[in-house]
Amino acid sequence: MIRLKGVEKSFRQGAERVFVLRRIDLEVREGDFVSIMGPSGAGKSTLLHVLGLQDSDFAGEYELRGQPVHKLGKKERLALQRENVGFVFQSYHLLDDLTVAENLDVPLSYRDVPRSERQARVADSLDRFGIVGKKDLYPRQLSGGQQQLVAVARAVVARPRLILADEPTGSLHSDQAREIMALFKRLNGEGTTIVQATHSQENASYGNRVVKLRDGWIDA
Amino acid sequence: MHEIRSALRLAGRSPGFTALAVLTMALGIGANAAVFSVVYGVLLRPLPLPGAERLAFITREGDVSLLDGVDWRAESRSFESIALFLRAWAFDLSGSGEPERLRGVVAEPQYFEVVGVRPLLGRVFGEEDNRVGGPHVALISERFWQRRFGRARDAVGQTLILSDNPTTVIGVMPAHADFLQDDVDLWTPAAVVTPWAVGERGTNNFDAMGRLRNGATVEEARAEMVAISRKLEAAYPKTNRNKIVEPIALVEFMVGDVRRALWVLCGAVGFVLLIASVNLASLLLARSSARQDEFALRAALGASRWRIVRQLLVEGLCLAVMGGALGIGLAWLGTDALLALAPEGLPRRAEVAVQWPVVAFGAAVTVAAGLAFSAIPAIHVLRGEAASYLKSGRVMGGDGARQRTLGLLVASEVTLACVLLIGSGLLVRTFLRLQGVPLGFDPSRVLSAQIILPESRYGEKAPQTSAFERILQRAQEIPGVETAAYVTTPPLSPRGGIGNRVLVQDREFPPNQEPGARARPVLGDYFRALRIPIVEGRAFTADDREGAPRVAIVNQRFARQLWPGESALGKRIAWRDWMPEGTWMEVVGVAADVKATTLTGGDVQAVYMPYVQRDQPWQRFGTLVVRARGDAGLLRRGLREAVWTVDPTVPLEDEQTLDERVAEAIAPQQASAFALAVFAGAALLLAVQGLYALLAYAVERRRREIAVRMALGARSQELLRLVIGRGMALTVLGLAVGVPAAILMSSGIQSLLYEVEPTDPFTYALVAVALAAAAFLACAVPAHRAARLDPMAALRSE
Repeated sequence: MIRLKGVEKSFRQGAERVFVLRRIDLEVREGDFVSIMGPSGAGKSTLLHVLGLQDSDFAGEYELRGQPVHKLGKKERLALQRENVGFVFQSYHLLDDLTVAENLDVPLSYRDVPRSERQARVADSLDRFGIVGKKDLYPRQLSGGQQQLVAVARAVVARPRLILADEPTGSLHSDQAREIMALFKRLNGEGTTIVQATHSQENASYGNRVVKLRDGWIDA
Repeated sequence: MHEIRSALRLAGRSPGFTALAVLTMALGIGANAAVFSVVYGVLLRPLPLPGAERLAFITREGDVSLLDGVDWRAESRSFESIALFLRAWAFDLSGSGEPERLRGVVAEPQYFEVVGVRPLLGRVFGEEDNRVGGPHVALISERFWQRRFGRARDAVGQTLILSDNPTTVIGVMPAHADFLQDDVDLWTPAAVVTPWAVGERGTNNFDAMGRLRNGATVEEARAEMVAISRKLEAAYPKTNRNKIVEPIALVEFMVGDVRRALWVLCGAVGFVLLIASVNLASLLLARSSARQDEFALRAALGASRWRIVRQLLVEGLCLAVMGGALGIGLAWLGTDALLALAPEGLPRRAEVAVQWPVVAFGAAVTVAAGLAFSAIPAIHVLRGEAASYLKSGRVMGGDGARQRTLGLLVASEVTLACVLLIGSGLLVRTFLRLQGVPLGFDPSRVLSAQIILPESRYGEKAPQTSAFERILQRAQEIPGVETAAYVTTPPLSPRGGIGNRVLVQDREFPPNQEPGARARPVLGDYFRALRIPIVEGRAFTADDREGAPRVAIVNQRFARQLWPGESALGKRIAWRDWMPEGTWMEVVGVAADVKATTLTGGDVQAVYMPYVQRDQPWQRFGTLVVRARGDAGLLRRGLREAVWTVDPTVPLEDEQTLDERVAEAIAPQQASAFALAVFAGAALLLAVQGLYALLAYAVERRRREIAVRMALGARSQELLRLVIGRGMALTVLGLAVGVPAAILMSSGIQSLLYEVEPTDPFTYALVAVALAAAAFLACAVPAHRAARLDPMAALRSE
């Protein structure tokens, strides 16, 4: 599904060039559940953003489902992202002015899904994640765990093949964290490829593969 | 003190914000103070005459006789004194250098008692000076004293040759004696200068002014004078029919015509200030939002909510005072600009200046505006947001009440700008309509100049005719002249010219109910010179000379009135009072109507006749009109020489091209339209700036939301739509309120409009589209910024 070859990312700081990612070679197969681990500043989030096609300012080659991302223009990249990628963030990033149901509707509206189908898929997601009773509530009316649950539901509502999760349980207490990770496991079991960035060994244990990053390099 | 220091430090820390706020405020205060200086000088400042509030203008347009004045003085109890006078009487000064036309007031001796002005030097004239056949005496104006005598005190006693009469200067009047702003050079006694008017009830040429008794009101005087007029009407039906006078306060007489326009202007700048204040309220509200951490810290350190509110109010006031001070400085420039823009005829123009009352007004408005615009962020603090400042807010999609308030503020700016733009649009449309209004004549390439032949040498018809014929002949010989002609009163003459009642052969009218008409005696090919179409019949020819059958050309309005549905040609008419009984003029042509007095009015009923066929010997004045092959302005020197070749003592007055005359006629509407357009433009800019600032702020506040939306797959156009949609929704809300508000308010300027309805759909549509387009542009920049946001950076910054 994902193939990175010699991917590097750097920025200039004064006269020096600071590298954030160094010669990353990585392959993620369809159905993998990969955990990227490493200390703060190792480059985990940067790597996720590159994988999520949000950052195109890198050197090297990146193929996503056979498409050479490094050769694509912005428009094609966005289209590829919309078709394949869902995001889950550490701080949920729900839209505060929208209800739970409306939050779930947002990714579908950006994919030009017809209204009737959107309603059906949102209803389906609410049901699947057990949050039907909360559909008309605003994010501030939910607990952290519930908010992240909605965030995960929002990430998968457009049925992406790949979910990228950046410290998805970083703001949750351990019970809530376990629930979310179980949810990821279930989604992975249903065929969704998952790549998460995490500090937590326990979270990593839900996946089938761990990639360790240190100072931008992949630990052998 | 602590708050002021803190506010000044804050202002210094964000110079861009401070500059924007101070300039916005300066614009609002400056515009208001400048307009107020005009309003104060023209409408509010007491007239520079003692007891001016007791002065009343009794007539309207020079239409009573000296004998009426005698009766009024005898019968009126409301007036302490009444004086009749002729405004703008022409005197020709000769004797040394080029002849010069002077403007004088021909007055009864009571005039000085009424107005209460004492001379700077010498004395005023009294009853002993006001005798038919008595020696000519004059009081001169301070301006003329300066120009002619260099303020020499021995001017009093010197002799001037005025219209061929040696006239002794008996005194010098101060500048404010010319309170009606007729550019008066001198004052002379009526019985000496206009002996023909003494004891003659039919000479209805005089104006009248009176001083009310202590305690009497204008309303009482009006009722009394109406009663006296009716009594005189009954006693003298032939001369006093319909001569009902209704006194009004002098100040009302002087400024009544411009009052509406000035208050409209005042309203317009009030709107600009309101928009500026709303803009500042938005800016401060946005800034207070960005200062949450600071307020939280202050609260944590023990500051009460009131303390924070007070800090916000002082900060706002500091900005307002800086802007106000700059604004009052700008008002000096603004007042000069307004005066430059104002039409020549603006009453009390000389009294307009930035004076202490204007400064006090500016200061009061500054404080009021400062408190008003800083109150809004303060209210948000009072409502309790401060308490939540310490909580970490994941602001995603706007900070609730503050965003809603900001939105409402911006929508209200759009509403105000919409009302102002529509008002200005209606006036601009009026101006454009007037520019394109059919004049009935072609003003291009025509120079006009008024001349009056002195009575002493031109008291009879023969020398008058000879002089005008020779002048026209000389004028025709000037290189570059196509046609030279003469008329008593050319088009666009505000005073309308001379007139009389007209008799129609074989038609009876009740006494004094014959149709009236303006007389337009012409010499030379007047219709060709002004390109006035003869719509029926013929123009005058050389055969229509003295002694030949009398002929007349009537204008369309007269023809329609007298002979509706039939031809006027061949009909016979006569001037009731000016022609020997039994003589008639045959109508040989019908001329197109022209704009006789103003651009907004039509033509009056008028009869053209060959100058040489007149009967009365007093028509020794008139206007030369010269059509040039090229630039008419270049003919001025030639025309003067043509006149002076015939008589070197005759001055030319009102030398102007007809294009200039048209421009003068349109000047009041042009001034209103231009001034309002400038203020509306400022309002539009401020509103657009407010919208831009709001959206830029919203985009900044919603960076993370936008980044998340991008991460969820939002395309550029969806983000553009998100931002622009919000801006345009506010614009539509503003327009939805602004358009009905404009409909309600535009009736207030109806009297300033010409052939434009207050609900003119074109203006409303144009303003709505223009505002929407401007708003769209204002939205585009922050929207574009939102679409180009780096989501990674935005999310990471959390």
